[in-house]
Amino acid sequence: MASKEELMKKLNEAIIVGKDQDAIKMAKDCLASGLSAYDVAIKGLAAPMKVVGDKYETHEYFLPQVLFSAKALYAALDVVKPELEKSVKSGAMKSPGCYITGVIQGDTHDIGKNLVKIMVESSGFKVIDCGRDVPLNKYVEECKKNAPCILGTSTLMTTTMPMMDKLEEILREAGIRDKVKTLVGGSPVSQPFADRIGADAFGEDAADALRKIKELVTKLPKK
Amino acid sequence: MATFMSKIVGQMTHRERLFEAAHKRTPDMIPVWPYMVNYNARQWNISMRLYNTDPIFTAKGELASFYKHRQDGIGGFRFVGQGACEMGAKVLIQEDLEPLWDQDNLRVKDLVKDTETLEVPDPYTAGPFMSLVTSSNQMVIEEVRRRGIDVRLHGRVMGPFTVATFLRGIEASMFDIVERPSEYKKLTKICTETETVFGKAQIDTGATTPWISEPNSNSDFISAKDWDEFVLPTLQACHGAWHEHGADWTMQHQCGDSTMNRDSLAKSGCDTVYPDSWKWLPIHEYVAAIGKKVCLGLSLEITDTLLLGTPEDCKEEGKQLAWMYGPKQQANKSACIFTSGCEIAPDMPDENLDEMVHAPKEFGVYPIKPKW
Repeated sequence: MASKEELMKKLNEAIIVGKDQDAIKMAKDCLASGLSAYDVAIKGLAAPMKVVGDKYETHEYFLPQVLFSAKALYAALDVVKPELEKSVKSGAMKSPGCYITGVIQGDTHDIGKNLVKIMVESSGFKVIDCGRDVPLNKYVEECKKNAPCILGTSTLMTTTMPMMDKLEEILREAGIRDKVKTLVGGSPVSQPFADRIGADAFGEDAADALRKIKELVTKLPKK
Repeated sequence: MATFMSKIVGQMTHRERLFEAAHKRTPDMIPVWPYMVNYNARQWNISMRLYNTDPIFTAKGELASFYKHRQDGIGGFRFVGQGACEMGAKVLIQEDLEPLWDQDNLRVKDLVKDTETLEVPDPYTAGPFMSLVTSSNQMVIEEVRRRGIDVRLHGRVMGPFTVATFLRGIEASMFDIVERPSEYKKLTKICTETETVFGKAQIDTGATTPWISEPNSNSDFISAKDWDEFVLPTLQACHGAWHEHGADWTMQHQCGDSTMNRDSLAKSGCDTVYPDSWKWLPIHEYVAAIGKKVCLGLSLEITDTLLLGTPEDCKEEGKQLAWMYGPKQQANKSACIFTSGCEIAPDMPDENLDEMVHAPKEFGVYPIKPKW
């Protein structure tokens, strides 16, 4: 009989090498061994995904490897989720915050948005993915429902960057800007652009975005 | 001669300047050829929908930008999904934004079965973009010839690997290259045939400088090993076919981070390699590694400088680029061209582009003598 540590290590390996069937089996075994859903999620799934993110950042991994790991992560998360939800409802576990994300209106390039989503979700955040080519009002609706929250948008095109500016404006008009921290990212986006439109942060890449989101969540007003 | 009307005594024409640089010879000054697409719509004061759908407006937009700024080349139309859309990828045309790739309706859902049903489109009749490009090219060329202006027109083509991802979807493509590489190469093969034919048609319609953009294969996506296996052969096929078809100059652009496949870019068979912004790529390494083999495109920073900067910022960046890399490329017995990495923003200030075009006149006249 494998120890809890050994089971957790095997779950970590399954995520890092991107073996979804192994990840499902190990997640089940971890829960069956008496490990809490919270521990399995944080130490078993989020920790190895951080390793995957680091490997991507240093070009040891590329998009295919990250996607295989993400597939394994989500497969294992499906196993753990019912138990996790029970923990959250009972107050035994607290999500660090809510992250709303989407590709800005007019653009459908979503691979960057998805990478950030994987990193953020595996770090225990509640994630609301609005999808691609998201009408600006949709973000406002979701922010109203979930504030205080972090709103991360991305674009790959110079033609749609002005939409990020408009989003800041309509968040202000809707009277919820002070309850939302905004993050922008994508190939043509930069820190000076973020500063100009009044966004709270700029994510240079997926790992940087996660770092910024963890910083921003500490600056959100209390509910 | 009418064709040399734009030539000022002692200076080269736009075409001559670019041609000399492209072939690693010394022009009178560094040529400037920014990557302009939807910016052209604004110059003609028309919607992006019109610019992206009606060849008359496409041509007028391209010409309006050229007459206003007098950059050294006219940028032919480009949309990232061109080629893929004619093979069945869906696109949504928007009024005031770039056309939108519809990822919810992918053409190649079943890699094997759907790839077998793909056909190479006729670039003169297949729409929405191929026929737009071949028609607008002819209009632009007729107009500049009528006016006696000696200027080149880009023939912009998407990289076959990127076209394949538009048909198949990016995530599915990433899984395929690991799980089903042989089948995926059949998809990139027909995409290569499509883009080869499209490039030839552009050459025939006067856009004699085919230019490939490869946005979906940089190192944010795939490794250098995968690039060499899945991307390089497709590019070699395109550049080789176009040279055989009479192109006297072809260009290769890699969007994003290309440092890991930098050397392979120079093996693609192109004459000019055009990396992304010098602000975040180690261009000195490109100069050292491939500067002797190819002419290098030097990209001014598209957002912080060209969009958000002042004319003075654009001038200063032009000076730095010219003085840092102009002499190095001369020492390499090669040359460079000023460009803009990716597409310049539609609302970029006109005066910034004017400064970008003007900078070589002040700092990039050969022999370049930096005065730091």
